[in-house]
Amino acid sequence: MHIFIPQDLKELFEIKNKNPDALIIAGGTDLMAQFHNIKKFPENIISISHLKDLSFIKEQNSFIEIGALTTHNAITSSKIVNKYIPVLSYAASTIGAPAIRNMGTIGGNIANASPAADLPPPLLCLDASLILTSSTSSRELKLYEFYRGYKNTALKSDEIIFSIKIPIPSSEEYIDFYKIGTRKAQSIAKLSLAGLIKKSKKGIETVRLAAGSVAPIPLRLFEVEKHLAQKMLTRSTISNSCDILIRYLKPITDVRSTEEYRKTALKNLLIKFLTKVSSI
Amino acid sequence: MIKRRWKINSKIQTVEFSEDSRLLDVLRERLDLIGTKEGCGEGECGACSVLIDNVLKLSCLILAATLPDNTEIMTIEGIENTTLGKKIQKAFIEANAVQCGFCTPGMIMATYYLLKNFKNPDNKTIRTALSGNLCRCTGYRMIFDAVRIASGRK
Amino acid sequence: MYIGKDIDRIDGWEKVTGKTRFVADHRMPGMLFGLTIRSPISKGRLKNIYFDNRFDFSQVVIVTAKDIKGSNFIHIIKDDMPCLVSDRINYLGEPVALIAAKSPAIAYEASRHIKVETIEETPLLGIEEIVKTYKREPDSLTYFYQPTINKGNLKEGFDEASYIVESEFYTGFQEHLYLEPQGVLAYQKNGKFFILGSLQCPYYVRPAVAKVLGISEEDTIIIQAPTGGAFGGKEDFPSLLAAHAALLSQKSGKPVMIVYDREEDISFTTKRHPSYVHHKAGVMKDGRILALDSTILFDAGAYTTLSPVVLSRGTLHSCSVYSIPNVRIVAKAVMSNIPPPGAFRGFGAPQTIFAMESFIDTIAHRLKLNPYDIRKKNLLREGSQMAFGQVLKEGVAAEKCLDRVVAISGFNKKYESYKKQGKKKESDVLRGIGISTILHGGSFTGSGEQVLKSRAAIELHPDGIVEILVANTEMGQGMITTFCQIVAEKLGIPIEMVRCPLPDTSVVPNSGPTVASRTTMIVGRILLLCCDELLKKIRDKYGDEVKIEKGIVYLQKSRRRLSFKEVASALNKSGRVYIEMPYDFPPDQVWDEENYRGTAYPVYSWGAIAIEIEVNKYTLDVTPINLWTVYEIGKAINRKAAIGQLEGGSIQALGYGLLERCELKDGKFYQNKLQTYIIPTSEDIPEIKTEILEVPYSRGPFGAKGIGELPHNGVAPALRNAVLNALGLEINEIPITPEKKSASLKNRGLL
Repeated sequence: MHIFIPQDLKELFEIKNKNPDALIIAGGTDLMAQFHNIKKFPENIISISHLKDLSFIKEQNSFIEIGALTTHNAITSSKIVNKYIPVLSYAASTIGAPAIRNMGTIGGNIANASPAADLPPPLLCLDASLILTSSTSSRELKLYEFYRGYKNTALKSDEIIFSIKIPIPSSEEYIDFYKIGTRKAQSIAKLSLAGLIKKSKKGIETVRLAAGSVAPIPLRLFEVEKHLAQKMLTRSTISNSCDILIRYLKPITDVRSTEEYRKTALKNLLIKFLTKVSSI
Repeated sequence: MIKRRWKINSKIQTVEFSEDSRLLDVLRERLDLIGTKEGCGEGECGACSVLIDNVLKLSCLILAATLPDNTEIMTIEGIENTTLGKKIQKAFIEANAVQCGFCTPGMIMATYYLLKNFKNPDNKTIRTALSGNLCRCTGYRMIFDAVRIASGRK
Repeated sequence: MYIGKDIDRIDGWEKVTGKTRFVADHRMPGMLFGLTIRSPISKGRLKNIYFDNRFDFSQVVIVTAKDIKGSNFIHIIKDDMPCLVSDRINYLGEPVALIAAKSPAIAYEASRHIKVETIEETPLLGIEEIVKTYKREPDSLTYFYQPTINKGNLKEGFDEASYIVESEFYTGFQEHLYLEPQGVLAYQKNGKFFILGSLQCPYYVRPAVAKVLGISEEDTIIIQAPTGGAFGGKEDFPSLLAAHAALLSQKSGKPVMIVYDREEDISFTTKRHPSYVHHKAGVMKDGRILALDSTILFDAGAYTTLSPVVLSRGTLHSCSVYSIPNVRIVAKAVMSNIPPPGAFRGFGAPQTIFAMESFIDTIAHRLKLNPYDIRKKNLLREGSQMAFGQVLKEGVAAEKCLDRVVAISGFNKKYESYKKQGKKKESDVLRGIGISTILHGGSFTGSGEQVLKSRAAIELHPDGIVEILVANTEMGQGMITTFCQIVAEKLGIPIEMVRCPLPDTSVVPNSGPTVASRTTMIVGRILLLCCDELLKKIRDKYGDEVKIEKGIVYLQKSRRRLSFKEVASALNKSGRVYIEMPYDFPPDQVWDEENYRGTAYPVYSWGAIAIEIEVNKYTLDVTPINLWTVYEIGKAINRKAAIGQLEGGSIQALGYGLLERCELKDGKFYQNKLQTYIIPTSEDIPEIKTEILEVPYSRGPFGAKGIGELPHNGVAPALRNAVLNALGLEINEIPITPEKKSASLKNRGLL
């Protein structure tokens, strides 16, 4: 096993271009555990957690930009995040436990592409984009376009996630995030649901919903959103949207929960969210 | 082999280790700092908690090579030499927050990190601060008491 | 001076400073690291062990069954568990070969080049499968043990009863999850074999290792290393692990350490036995139970190990704290193809008490009675006769505990109000409250202590230090401190003058295993007998009556004052002052194993639990809010250590009832890592209030009874009863996960 420790982004790309198979490791909270479980390290590892250029939280006009190596704890304690997108701060606070939150990063949480990751559902609702950078170029990609399949993403082998851009929600947009873990702390989501809704007198103006641990990827619930768009939040709208949700979702039974429970509880959480919104 | 100069428990030391060494391995095998424990190796139990540049981290999830020269590392062995650390250790004994003692070093590191950052943590803050440190003996309540005693709140 | 006080743990400072050296913290020159190669199938035969020559096996030491010089069986109750597979395979993960290498990495690399080739047969897996088979063809199963209890006339009892209530209960596996994984270090010195290990019972490990190595017990020396939690998990399993390390050391001539990785530990070491209990009761209108017909099945795994005694204790506790005139209990430990489950805090009682304490609430629920009232109608009291004929003579405190816990929790009012919450309530959560009342027999079952013939010793050194010599082990419970308190109090000397080192079988007598809530009660008593003997020696030496206070010896008639040290020095002039005494087994404790009748335990500890919960209406997640426990333990020698045991046990039991899912999937434990086997964290526990009641036991040291296992018996059923209160749902299987509640609600059309 060989470990590369680039001093800056330029060196990182040089190493990456020479060793396209090298695995990039950020906070290590997930990958190091995986290596331990198989009792083996990959041939080449590039460690980047020390790269300060990738650790920042910036407020820029209509959006917040968060560097990929910003830790969960930095997000939870950031004044900017707490002011403009408290739901993200809350979601970050539900990850692992204090030491894990001091190590794990937002970029790692996204790139690892676990369906149970805690930050993607709220980020999907917030319509976040990723800035993906290579040695020669940079592109912006919507987060919902990033996930291709189980542990499979649109990240090219010469690219890294540089930052996450999150549009600042307006005060009329109601946002919430629910996580059902295996226990109260240090837990991985059995299920999570994030929602964002803006209502007007005519009905729902904006709606974005996303769920974790119910599909091979963190999932935007486009079909349910389509059904809710422009509608008034009546009992029958809510109940129909639940039917659509269940029709489109194929959660699995695994080590943490069952298909049956995930369906039932997700439906219940959607009812809870929509009922809350309807009463505002 | 990798060579690093770290400040470990306030003492500058040079250590050599292989590239695949975790910080936990280096502490235990190279420096005989055996107070840092391995309870799972996957970041779930907290028994390997240490402070790196004053931040609580898990030494089983860190490749030692990634820590540059001049990194400050504090382990349970360094805690006794600090006023706050000693106070916490005494409080753990007074409150009977120790049984088998295997989680204790990690638990004390988490408490030290908490009390460094919060002078008077409320019960909820204490519970959250210790939530990454599993204890199977005590049922936790007596550990909360220890933290309260150490923070000067009875 | 010391009894009943909050005495700081004697091993505390070592532990809070990280200086305590557990097994894994030891290194010896030339030491190798051991690894186990395991069977990939649950049942069948071993065809071949294939070594892929792309790996250079000359750099490692390999041990297979062929290398065993002694017997290839691990001595526990019956010698039927192989040390290494030689032919038949009976569970997935059964040890087939052992590797030792200079580093764990080399051992793992070697293991990747070894293939265990087998012929597979159809295994029997899971308690559900066992129950299905039992109901269809009971004779097709293999039983390790099958006790039966009969009392009164069952038919008459059922005939007289107004109602028949029937229910089935299941409990799952539970992993001990001691924070320190299993580990031993085996080495040789001066022709003897040494085992330094994380273990509970050095005198269990000694014969097991000696038999496998083919050497004498005297040449096999077992030393306990500081032990990072055990809970029964280090009672029987270390015998197998120590034999493995010893075999590698025997073949290599080098010290060999085996420390299990957490995943290996969860996957292949013992667990609490899964159970099935069927209860059928004949009940009067007022709630009095006239007849009880019970069937108990424990999944006992591939080999006998401790299952007969676990089932025995489970069976004897299966009526919980109730006096029932007509009883039949049929119990069976069923062989299957899983790693043998073993000892775990409570030793069978948590399973059967879960069933009974849940069943009593089921009866209350179906007959529309209050859970407190129905308990009061049926409680054991002084003079009551238990199902196996034992008449309770002293200190029956079930009612005291129950009344107290109901008072401090406000049970009755809350229970009635939560029952009426209904589904329409605005809040996101529903509340519930549940109770349970429990007992636990102290020390070995029946004539076990008579067979054990435990001996403990003290030695008075010339410098006045009194050393306690016992085979019992400190694993976190506080034994060292408790024993030092007992001896210091009895001798009238400062506790600083008493030492209790960890056991080494070449030094200490066999005071028996550290199990069965027996340590303080039985071994503590022997220590008192030793102290009496020492005091007699002092009296004889000076030909005077003596009184010792704070280390000053007062010779009463001659009105002299001596320091304890002076006395010690004087006594040592005529040779070593070593006093060893046996346990004085109570003559009136008679047990008839054949008919399963008599005094099962010399005395019982009692308890009552109330737990208040919130159930989230959307997720069915249960949040425990308050836990009230009242435990009657005779006398708390060390108050805070006792509370530490009681609370720790209560929370372990909460995990058992609420969180700790461990399922079999194709013969393997599905939740086999800390990431998936979920135990309570600091954020999962309720507010806890623990009260101790003390009704001194006439034969206990300063009145003390057993305490360690008691708190594991009651929390799970109380939790289950709280869910019944909150949702009106009888869930008869633990852990009670939201998945189970969801399925039950769905079956009743509530979701």
